[in-house]
Amino acid sequence: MQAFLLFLVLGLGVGSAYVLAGQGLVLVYKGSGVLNFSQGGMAVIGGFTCYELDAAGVPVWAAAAAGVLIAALCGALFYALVIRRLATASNVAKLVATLGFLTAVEGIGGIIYDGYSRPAPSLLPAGSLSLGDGIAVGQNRVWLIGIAIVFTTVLSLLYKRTKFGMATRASAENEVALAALARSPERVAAINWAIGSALAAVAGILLAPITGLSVETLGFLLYPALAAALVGRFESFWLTLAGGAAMGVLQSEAANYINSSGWAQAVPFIALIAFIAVRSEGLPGRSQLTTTLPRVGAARTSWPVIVVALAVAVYAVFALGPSWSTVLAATFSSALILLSLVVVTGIAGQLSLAQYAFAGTGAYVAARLSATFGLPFLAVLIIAALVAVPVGVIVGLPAVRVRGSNLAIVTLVVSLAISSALLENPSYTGGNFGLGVQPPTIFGIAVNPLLYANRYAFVCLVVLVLALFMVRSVRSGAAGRRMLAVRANERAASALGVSVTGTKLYAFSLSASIAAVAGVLIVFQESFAIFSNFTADNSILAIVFLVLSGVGYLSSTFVGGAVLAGGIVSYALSQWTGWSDYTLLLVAGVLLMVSTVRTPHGGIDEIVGLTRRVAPRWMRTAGTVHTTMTPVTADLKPVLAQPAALSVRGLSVAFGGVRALTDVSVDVRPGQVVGLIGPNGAGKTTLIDAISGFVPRYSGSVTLDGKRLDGLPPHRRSAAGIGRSFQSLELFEDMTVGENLQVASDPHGPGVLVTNLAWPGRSPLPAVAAVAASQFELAEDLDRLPSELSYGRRRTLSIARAIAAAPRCLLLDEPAAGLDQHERGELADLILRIAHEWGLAVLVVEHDVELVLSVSDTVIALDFGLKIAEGTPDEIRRDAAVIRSYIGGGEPDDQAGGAGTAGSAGSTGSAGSAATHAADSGRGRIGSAS
Amino acid sequence: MPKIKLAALASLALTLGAVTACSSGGSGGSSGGSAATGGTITIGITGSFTAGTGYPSIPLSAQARVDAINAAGGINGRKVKLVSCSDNLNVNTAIACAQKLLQQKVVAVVSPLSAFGNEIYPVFNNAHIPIIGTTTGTPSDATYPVSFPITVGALGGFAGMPAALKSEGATKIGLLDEGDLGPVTTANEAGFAAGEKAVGFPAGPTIGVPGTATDFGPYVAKVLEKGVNGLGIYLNNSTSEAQLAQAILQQDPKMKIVIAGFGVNSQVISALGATASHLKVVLWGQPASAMSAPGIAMFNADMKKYASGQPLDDLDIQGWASVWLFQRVAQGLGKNITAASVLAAMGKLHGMSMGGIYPPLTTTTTCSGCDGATRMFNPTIVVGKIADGKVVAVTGKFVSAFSS
Repeated sequence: MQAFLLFLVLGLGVGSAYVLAGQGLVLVYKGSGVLNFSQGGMAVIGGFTCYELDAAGVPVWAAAAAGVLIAALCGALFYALVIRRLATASNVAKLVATLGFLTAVEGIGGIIYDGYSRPAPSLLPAGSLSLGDGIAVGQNRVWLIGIAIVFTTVLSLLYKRTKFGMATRASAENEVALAALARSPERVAAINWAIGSALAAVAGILLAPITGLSVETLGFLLYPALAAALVGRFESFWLTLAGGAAMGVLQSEAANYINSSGWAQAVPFIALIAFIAVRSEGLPGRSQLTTTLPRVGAARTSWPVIVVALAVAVYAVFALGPSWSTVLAATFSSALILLSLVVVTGIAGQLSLAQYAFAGTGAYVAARLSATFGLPFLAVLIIAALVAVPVGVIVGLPAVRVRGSNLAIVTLVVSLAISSALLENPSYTGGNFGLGVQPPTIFGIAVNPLLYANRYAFVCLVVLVLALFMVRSVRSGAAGRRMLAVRANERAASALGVSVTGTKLYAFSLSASIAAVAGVLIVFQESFAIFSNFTADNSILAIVFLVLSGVGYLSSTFVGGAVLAGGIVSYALSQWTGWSDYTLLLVAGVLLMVSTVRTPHGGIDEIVGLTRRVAPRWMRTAGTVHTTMTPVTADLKPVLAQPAALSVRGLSVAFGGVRALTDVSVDVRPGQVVGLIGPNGAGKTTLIDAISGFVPRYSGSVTLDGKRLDGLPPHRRSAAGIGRSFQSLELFEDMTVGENLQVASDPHGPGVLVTNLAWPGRSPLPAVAAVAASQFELAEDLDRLPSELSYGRRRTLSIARAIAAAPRCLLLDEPAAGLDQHERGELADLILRIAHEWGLAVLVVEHDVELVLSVSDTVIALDFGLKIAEGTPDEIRRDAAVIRSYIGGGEPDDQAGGAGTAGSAGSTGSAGSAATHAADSGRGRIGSAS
Repeated sequence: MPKIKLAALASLALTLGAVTACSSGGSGGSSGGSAATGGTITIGITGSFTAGTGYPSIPLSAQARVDAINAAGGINGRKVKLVSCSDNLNVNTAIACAQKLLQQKVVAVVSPLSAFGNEIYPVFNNAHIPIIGTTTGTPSDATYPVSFPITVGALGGFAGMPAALKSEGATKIGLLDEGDLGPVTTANEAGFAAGEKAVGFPAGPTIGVPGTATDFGPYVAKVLEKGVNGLGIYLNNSTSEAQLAQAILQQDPKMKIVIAGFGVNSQVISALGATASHLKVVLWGQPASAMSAPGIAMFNADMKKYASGQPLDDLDIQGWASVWLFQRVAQGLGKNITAASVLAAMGKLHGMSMGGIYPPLTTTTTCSGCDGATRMFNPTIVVGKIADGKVVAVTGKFVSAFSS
């Protein structure tokens, strides 16, 4: 127990520094929505400023204050000059910009201070403090604990009780709303950046006397600080305090109880992963997180370009000599890792910082099999690729619950755990001594890179090209569309039958496999397989270079691979410029910041854009998705699935203590339209969400043609025949109209996930999608983006997309919202055709009561989650409860001008629209006679 | 868990650069060192010379002696060229470096400081290239017939720690060393155990410290739990030893601490601060402050003239002394300065003066009591301390690291 307490205090001391740096991350995130990877750089600035001033004779407290102020200034300036200009860029671009800052600071620090640690001046007493029974700790650790608690208390009060704190919280929710309140979001963000950076400096200055003052050790603060902030959900100062303290204590206690240093260092990260896994709810997403996604290429590079590029690559491999062949092999291997990142991050939208962990795991398996069992190169290459599949699944599991930047941290943590426990654990890998591997041969031909550098480079090129074609096929096929759909909108994807979980895990496992192959190619380039380069740092660098090139483009892999360490660009720079490594870091960091500001979607995207402007005809065939349609019949019925009857029985839903629906029953037969009306908060959308599986917890039952759907997730219900549209459309904005329809009509089984690895499948729209496109008059818009359509057309697309999924029963959630009179009329006709001509069961939720009454065979009225009426439109018009719920109070006959009716039976879009508008804003009149 | 650092952008490139040198020359082979009978004499140096995890000053001190030789007209009228290759603590780079030195036709390798002796010594051994001033960081350093250590090296440095601790009054000792250096860690710990045995201590606790640990406090607490009152400490990054020592003294201000002298330079001493006065240092020979030793005086003069401002520690002295020894051996060979002739001459040294830095060197007899290090021609250490910002010898006496 005594030992436990000692290690507890030791851990709390260092953990307190994590807390301070973590609080800084929370502030920056609250203030600007940016995951600040430059936090370690701010600690470096603060620590070394303090060091220099102290050495110059400035009192240590003044030196420390100056260090904090300069870091704060750097933070504010960095925000003003870089981050602010990235307001509309993707979050990954912002993250990369912060990495640029960190890289530049490390470059400068390296140039000035080399790799040595410096004696840091201590603000805190460094003497010994007895804890009794002969055990003692440093006084500075106890002080650190107190400082962390004080800072947390102050921050908590500051952000709860002051106007600035409230403005920051408001900014985190909605920057536009904050601006409307005459508070500048930029100013709020800049101040938070300054305070956040100052906190990092405080952490650096206080921690340096314990860890030593070096660029490396202070930069290290980033990882545990991220972990602490993640525990605090980038929101709560007190939870961040708990997270940082827990990281420190786990590190300390693990050092005591675990003799393997690798596992001891991995324990805190493993614990964090477990914590995230069991956390009962998903992490909160800031509104900005879903604003902008990196652009994705069409993967349709023309064959002449491919052939020329291949010819140049093969020529370079065999003609430039062994030195360049070696560099090219490294370039191709790095490109392969970046390709794996294109899959998971570019196409599937899952920000992964674990690619080198995948690569290292594959490399380790291959090297171990080669070193221990003497298995041949090709065999270990394939085995490594297969072993990586479950590893990818395991790493990808958190992605089911965590999104965006938070996912990046989780994958980073997983990467750190794998690195510590396996790849940097000399017990397994031999450390710097590595594992001796068999010289590679393929089909009896020696490709030993030390003797035949060009042969090995050619092997790497062949593997890369095969992988590129594989990913190209996946991108162009149903699997790629699934990934893009999930990336764009998980709700919409699952409503169309796409398994979000399955798609994410597929992306991670495919990505892991590709990375593992790259890892094998990397380690077999040497006599001894060394794993020290498969670090989280390099995973971060991989995303950096890929973002600079264009994260959604296959061709970016070549560019990024060339620039990444060991690639031809970095090799040429180191050979020809004579720059030191630190100078290269500085240059790279500055370029990163400039590039992200100027080309946030990457260099390749700029080239594509330029080409599109210069040669639009060529780009139409080569660089964009082009959807073709075969001639279709006018009738949708033959291509639709067999219509089915929807039956909802006694359905009740509660959110916490609020009952959203109580004992609601609905029946919709094939060929019938059932309208669902009710004021705001009546439970209409909740009912659709429950039927379609988006509200999984309810009592009662939902059946389709007698088959119970309860317990099934949305994509399974979609597969069973439930189709739906969304009030907010939820289109896949970065996919063309054709792709929006195609993803709905694609087969959703696992088969295509395998077959698409080799063949993308047929490109014309499937019949049901083609007929939907034709019937909804979208055939001319197939190659356009949804954003290029009018609002009415976008809404039409959302319904067409639901139809393209060939549902047996269709749920339409406020399909008329935002439409003008003419469009509403067309919509009414459309609904009637869907039900009466094509035979589908249609449930319509709509505020436009007049429209509902005009198209429905049966109308159900809800209020406060209760069914208050059901009947024909005429019956509903006269229903007292319905009228009361819309108007409040009186009886039907009391209503002036209404002649006791709840709307007219006139044509859609006539006088009833006035009622609609009233109802749109909440409770109001149900209708007025024309 | 390093952060974004050099390794990310640079080490791969540097590794590949070294591999390129290797791959462009095919299998290397035995051509090295056999043709230097005229013109410039080429010698080589390899090891971990990267700042932070290595010792970048060693090639500079060796170069200082080379510059002095050339300034004085060379060896028997021939200029000397020193080829340096850093292995960046990477085994593949180390092998590539060895092959690079072979391609450069070096007649000798001086003062290599490589963690990969087991991998690179066979290369030099096959090519019959003498290695002068090995560091005995791995078993190969002290066993291959081409190896000529002039100091007790890393092995003896650890073996000397128990004796130094005993002289400080410690009664129960342990070792805190970097635990993730593979065979180097094994060799270091074996050396310490040999020293314990030599001075009559029972085997004490050995705790491996991760070189990348943020906080050494828990590891210190772990070894203090064993009730030790004397500790030998070692981290590959010497400046981190300061934090380790401070962490120890915070938990036990009375702890006796001994550190290995190699790498204890002015920067480390500065980092140690007030902690420095609590430490004893196991030195391979006389420190740079021992100006009464003629060799040390020469060393200081050379460093001042050709490598001003560079650190002056055990390793720097060994690097310089290795070239000095090579110079004197080669001078006796007339014009026939080849790897073979140097190798043969190195094997016949008897009472060769080392300028008072180390005891006179005899290479005709092997060491039977040096924990298997048969080619440990100089098994002695000097116990030092830190005073006035410098490493100074406590008594200046050479004492055996392997016997009480």
